Order: sequence, then structure tokens, then C-alpha cells
Amino acid sequence: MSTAISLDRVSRTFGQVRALDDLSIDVQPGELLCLLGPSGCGKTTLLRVVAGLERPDHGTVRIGAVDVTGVPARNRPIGMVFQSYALFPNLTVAENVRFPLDVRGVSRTEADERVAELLDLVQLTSQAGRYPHQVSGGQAQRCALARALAPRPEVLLLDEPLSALDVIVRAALRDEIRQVQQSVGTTTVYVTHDQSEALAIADRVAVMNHGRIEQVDRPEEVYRDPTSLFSATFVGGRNRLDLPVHGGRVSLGAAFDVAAPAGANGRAMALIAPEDVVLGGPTDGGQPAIVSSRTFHGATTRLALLAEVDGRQIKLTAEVPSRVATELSNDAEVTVHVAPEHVRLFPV
Amino acid sequence: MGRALSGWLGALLLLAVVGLFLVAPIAVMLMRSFITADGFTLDVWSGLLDSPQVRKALLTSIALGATCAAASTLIGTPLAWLTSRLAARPRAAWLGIFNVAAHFGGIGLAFAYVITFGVFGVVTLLLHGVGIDFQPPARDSFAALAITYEYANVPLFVLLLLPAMGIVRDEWSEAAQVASATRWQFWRRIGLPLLAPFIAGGALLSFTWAIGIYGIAYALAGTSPAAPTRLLTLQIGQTIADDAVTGTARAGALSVLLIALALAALATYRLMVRRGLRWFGGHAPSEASTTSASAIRRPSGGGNWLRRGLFVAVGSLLGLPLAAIGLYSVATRWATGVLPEGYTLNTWLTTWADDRAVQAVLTSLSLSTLTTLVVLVLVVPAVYWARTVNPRVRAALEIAAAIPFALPFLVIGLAMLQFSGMVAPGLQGTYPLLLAGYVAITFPFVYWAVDGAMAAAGVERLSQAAEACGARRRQIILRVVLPNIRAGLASGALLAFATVMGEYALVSVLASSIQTIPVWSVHLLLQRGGDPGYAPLAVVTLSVFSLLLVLALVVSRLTRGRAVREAAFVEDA
Repeated sequence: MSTAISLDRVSRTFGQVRALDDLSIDVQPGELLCLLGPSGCGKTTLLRVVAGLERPDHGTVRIGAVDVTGVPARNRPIGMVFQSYALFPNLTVAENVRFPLDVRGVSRTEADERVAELLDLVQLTSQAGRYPHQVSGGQAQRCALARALAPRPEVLLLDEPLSALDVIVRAALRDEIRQVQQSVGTTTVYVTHDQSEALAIADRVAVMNHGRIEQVDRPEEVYRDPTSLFSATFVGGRNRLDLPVHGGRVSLGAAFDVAAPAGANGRAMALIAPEDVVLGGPTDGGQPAIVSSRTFHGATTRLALLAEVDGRQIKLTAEVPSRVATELSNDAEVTVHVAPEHVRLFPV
Repeated sequence: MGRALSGWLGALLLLAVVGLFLVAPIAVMLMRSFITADGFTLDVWSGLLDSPQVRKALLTSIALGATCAAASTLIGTPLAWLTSRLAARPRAAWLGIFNVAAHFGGIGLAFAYVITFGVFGVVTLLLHGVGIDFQPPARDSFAALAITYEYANVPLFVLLLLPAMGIVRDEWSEAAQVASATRWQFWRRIGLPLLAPFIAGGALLSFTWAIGIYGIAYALAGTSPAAPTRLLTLQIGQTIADDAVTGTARAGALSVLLIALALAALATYRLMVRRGLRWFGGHAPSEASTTSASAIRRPSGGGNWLRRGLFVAVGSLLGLPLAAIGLYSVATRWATGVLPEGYTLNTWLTTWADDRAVQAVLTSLSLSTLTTLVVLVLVVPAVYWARTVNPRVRAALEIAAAIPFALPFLVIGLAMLQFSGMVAPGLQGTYPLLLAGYVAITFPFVYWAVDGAMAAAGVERLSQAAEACGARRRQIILRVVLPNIRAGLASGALLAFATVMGEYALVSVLASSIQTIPVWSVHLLLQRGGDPGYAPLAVVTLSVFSLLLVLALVVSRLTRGRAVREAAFVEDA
């Protein structure tokens, strides 16, 4: 089976900034791929290169089997949802959805049917006659989704589609986008800087940084098994500890002691997810530490811990069930232990 | 009563000046066209419209206005679009150029026409030199007036339309591309329908502006009865000149025709703007969201050379008369041949030794500076008051600002002349009256600029924050408000300054004994026959234009090339 989208060694530079740096990636048919990264990492540029709104300086872009590198956006089999919706303000909701059909010369009855079907799919039938400024942000975004899907594109592109919405609408709409995408089965590339959004919605997540892809994997793997220092840092809110290498091993007092990574030159960076920091009582063994402050998150609580290792004050965050946290006052003495398989080490 | 008054305190002075020198005179002029010694009558009107001369002038004026509006729309719309999509620096430069051309225009343009297309004009000589028998349109012809008007009218149209261009977001064009629309489909279905009300409104205002121009027409055509192009404004000017006593009354009635045209245009314009904003819930979308991406992402592909070509063409069209004037000012003799017979700096030296020229320059500089300072002192507290204390002040200011925006300065001048004759004849012909007149007609430029700057800076919230920090009102204004609206102050001041530097109609009606640059220039231009001795005119025009251009470039660098709100977005229209 061939790939749905294939980028081969694509570069794009804006002035001094390498937005895309010799980047290659394949997207499989029907899958939803999230491009995840901080602002300025090149993820939107990548999306725009696929859309044809941006020409790459080097490299090739394929959609299906077709090389579309030099093909203008209007001749590519794509639909796109923009960050701020980009609904045409002089057209109603229904007319916006209809626009891509009209410009393709689709017959009136066929277009009518398709528009009705799509408005039903995104539950906007009752808003069909309204203008964009008369509908809510969530409705505007669903309209943009319907417009993008109207011509049955091979590829659906979404550029931070939820960033302008408030938290509650965002979660609901995120699930709705996923549902719609699965029901129509369109290959989708979804750009976001929000890791929880990416992990929740994607079949695969591509973590991007400085115009390069750091890791492409299923959400669980990206979260549990980051393959680069950047994705380990960017995803999961991990503890970052800069530790010395002694005799080929890296340790944090009595908390853990693991083999140093290949290529570590005297120092290594250890990344540990807060939920992997296991607390014990003062006599349980492990590294002694004290609770310095806490942040309550509902079911769980994050505890800030201070430990003294080799004369250095080390800060560490642990995530524990809130009912465990309530038993520990601030200044409480605890011990800290991390299973070796939960310590991700990277050379500095 | 005391409380009602205190709500208006900060704006009282400005409103008093505007009421006394703008609103009252216009109101009286309107009334007097219906009410004579015999009571209410339509006689004045029917008498006017029966006169074949007036009818012809009216028709010619309308034809000229329509020609100019059509040309401005055709040239100005793409120009405004491309200008709005330029990177910040070139946009700032072009805005500076447009501002000077639009507001200083006037007599300088009339002179430029003569130098460029006159019998001994540069283009004429150039074409003769390469063997083409070019007969330029006579300076008092319809074509000459239309060409000259366009030099001020197109930039004005661009400035007016520029803020509206911000409503078309680049994302829409991209969304259309992604939806498989061609460029043309995008413009036909999205871009033009969105802009149409603003373009139509701009065309309408171009039309009224062209009809209301007096200075250029007078400098080119004079008022000799033999002149082929009779215009309404020339008719008014001549009626005043013919008979100082009864002439003013008849000229007043003629002016009411212009007022009626202008008010109709303004009302339609506001309707248009409101229509244009209906797709945005009645409010102008904030500019910040519209141009963010365009600064970084230059459109790739074919449009670029087209854009460059257009700007080069516009630049050379604007630069041609300037180059002609410059060449003329250093020519020894220049009656045949493509280039002058010799070059000399003599004219530059003699001009600055000529008492009358130097006097005119000094008079204009001091009058412009004084006007600008007075306007700033009046407007800033008024706008601050309107924004922080009493929003109703703003409504009053908006309406007042619309008057000089829509009405020809000639009509305003005439109304002031009539009104001062009624209440204070001693003031007529004096410097203080002229100054007050200039304050009244230029305050809108400063008002819009300052109001826009205060809105952009969020002066209300800044003031509250400063107050919460314990600052007193004086400290708030000096240390918080003024530093944050510098760019607005500068651009408003520039427009007021440039307008007074180039204004002819008002001074010629109110105090023609005060020899400003335009008065002095027209005097020289209308000396027909023999060697007209235009050389000092070339030196002065070029010097003033350069001064204004430098100021404008500095100012638009300060505003980072953002269009000052030119009343196009009367948000609460």
C-alpha cells in the first residue's frame, strides 16, 4: 500500500530561519498524524508546504503517487482548516461549505445534497443561513471543518484548529474532529502545540523542533519512550536532571543507579516522568528528601521535593494520588525511588 | 447644569472654536439660501438653477467629478491593495509620499502641470524633440484639470481605502486557493464583494472632493469669462470677486449646491461603510489579526513583477512633475529641445534674495506651525476627555470632523466670511480670523490621528492603571498618555501642517492680503504673456515639497507604515 503523503528531504528557509531543515516524513492512508512542537518549530510551515501555500526550497512532496511539489494549492486534492477559521464573512455557513463545490463547477443538486450531508455531519443544519459573525467560535470551527471536507479531499490539513477556543469547547470539539475524521476516513495532518491534544487525538505523533522531526510514533510510545532529549522534555512535563557520569554509571543518591548512555562525556541528562517518582516513608530506603510545596490537580497532586545529593540541592517533582499527598505535610521527610527502566538518559 | 458642563470640560475650547468657525457659519449660510428679507423663499434657488451659466458650471463640475472619481477608483483600488500588502518599510515610504501629494497638492500641482504639459512643458518639449507633434491640453481645459486633480485625488483615494484593505485577510485568499478557487474566483466571490462598499464610498468622496477643488482650478483656468471650463467653484469665486456686497449672498446660495452634494455624498458614504461592516457585526475587525502573516510570508510566484511594475509606474508618474520642476529651477533658458540649454544655480540664489518669495515662505511656515500647535493643544485634551470621561464628546467631535472632511474649503471660507460680516466685521481680512479658519478645517486630521492612537494604545486602561498607581491627572497625561500616542500626534500634525502650507481657497476668501505661498504662487501663475518668471516658483515649490516629504517620511517611519485612520472606519458610523 502506498503512502498518502510523502515528504522527501524538504527544506524551507525564511531569511535566516530554517523553518524546515532537510525533513522527510510519510503519512499512511487514513491515519491522523499530529505535528507537535513549540511555536516556531516549523510545524505550520510543514502543513503549508503540503497544502501548496508554501513552496519548498528543496525536496519533493507527494500526495498519493503524484508529485505535487510544483502544483499550486488549488490543484491539490486537499482540504484545510485554518487557525482562525478563515470563514468568508460575506457568505453564510451553508455558502461557505458550498464554496469549494461551486468553484469546481459541481452541479446544483449535487452540491445541495453534499452541503446538507456535511452540515448534518457537523451538526450545523440549524445555523445554515447565518453569517460567520453570528455563530460561536465552536460553530465557526465546525463550519470550517465541513468546508474543508466538502470536495472529498484525499488529505485534510488542520492548523491549530482549537487554539482560539476556550477549554471546555476545545475538549468537546477535539473528540468531534476525531469522530468525523474516522467516519470519513480521510488522511489527516493536524498541527498543534498542545501535547494533551496531540496524545488524545492522533494515530501517530511527530514531535518537531528547529525544522526537524525528532520522533514519530504512536502517542503511547512518544509519551513512554521518548527517543530524543527534546521529545522527552517537550512531552510529559518530565524532571530534567543534569548528572555526572562516574565509572560508566549515572546515579541520583540512593534514588537510582543506571548505566550511562553511549556517547556520554562526563555528564548525562536524566529525564523522569513525575508519576515515576515513587515515594516511601523515611525508613523505606532510597534517597531522603523533603516536601517543599505542592500543586493540587484534582485526582492527583504534584509535590515539589528537595533532596541533597553530594552536597547539591536537587529539585524533583513527583505526581501522586491526592489522597496520598494529603497525608504528607510540607517539610515532611520522605524517600525517593525511581525504577531504572523509568530513567531516560541522554548524552549532554 | 454645573455637572452637565463639567462632563464636557476638556473639550469645551475645541467645541467652541468648531462651533463658532464651522458649524454656525455653515448653518447660517444654509438658512440664508432659503430666507431673505421677504421671509422663507425658494427664489434664490430657482433663480440659480434658471441661470444657464450656473447650469453649465454645475454640469461641467459633475462631469469633472465623475471623471476624476472613475480614474481614482480604477488606479487607486489596486494601488491601495498592493500598498496594504507591502512590507512595513516601503509601505511607510509610500504612505509618506501619498500623504504629501494628497494634502499639500494644490497650487504646486497646477504649477507642475504647466511645467510638465504646458506649451514649453518638459513632456511637450521632449516629444517635440523626438519628432512627435504633441499638442498638450491647454491648461484651462477639462483634460488639464482632470489630469492635475488626479495627482491629489488618487493618493487621497488610496489613503481613504487603505484601512479597508485590512479587512481582507490573507487567510481568506489562502482558504480560497485550498478550496480550488482561482485568483479571479476569489476576487469575484469574496474580495470584491467585501471591499465593494468601501470602494464605492471612496469613489463617492473622490467625486465630491473633485467638485469642491478651487485652488488648482483657479490657478490653471483663472476666472476669465473666456475660459472654456466653467466650474461651480470658479463661479463662486468669481461671484465674490465681482461684487463684494451682493456677491457674497449669491455665492452663498451657489455654495449651498455644493453643500447639498457633499452632504448627500457623506450620508451615502456612511451608509456604504455601515454596509461594508455588516459582515463583521458592525465593527471593524482589529487590524492586528489581519496583517501579521503578510509581513513574513511574501507571496510566492508571479504577482511580484506586476506589483513592482505598478509601483515603478506610479513612482515615475508622481516623480515626473517633480523632476520637471527641479530641472526647470536650474535651467538658464529652456524653450526648445529635450533638455535645457544650460544650467545655473542663479535662480536658487535670487529666489532666496527675493523679498516677496522669502516673505511668502515665512508667512506660510509660521501660519502652518501656529495652526498645528493650536490644533494640538485643542484636540489632545478633547479626545482624552472623550475617551476617559464622556463618550458623548466623541459623538459631537465625529460629526464636527465630518464637516471639513466633506465640504469644500471654499464653501467653508465663504460661510466664515458671511458669518464674520454679521457678527464681527472688524475681524474680516485679519490674521486671527484666518488662523481660526485653519484651525477649524485642519482639526479633523489631528482628531482622527489622535483618536486612533489613543484607541490603539488603550488609553482608558492605561489611565486607570496609572490612577491605581497613584498618579495625578497631569502626571497621567504627561508621563503615560502623551508618550504612547507620539506617532499619532506626529502624523496628525504633519497633515495639518501640510494642508495649511498648500491651502488656497480659504485664504483667498478670508484674507487675500496675507501673502502665503499659495497666494503668491497663484499671483505669479496668472501673470500671462511674456516670460512668466516661473523660476522662483520652481524653487519654492520644490523646497516646500522636499521639506514636507522629509517630514512625512520621518513621521511614517514613526508610525511604522500603518495607515492613520482617514475617517474611513468611522467605527460607530
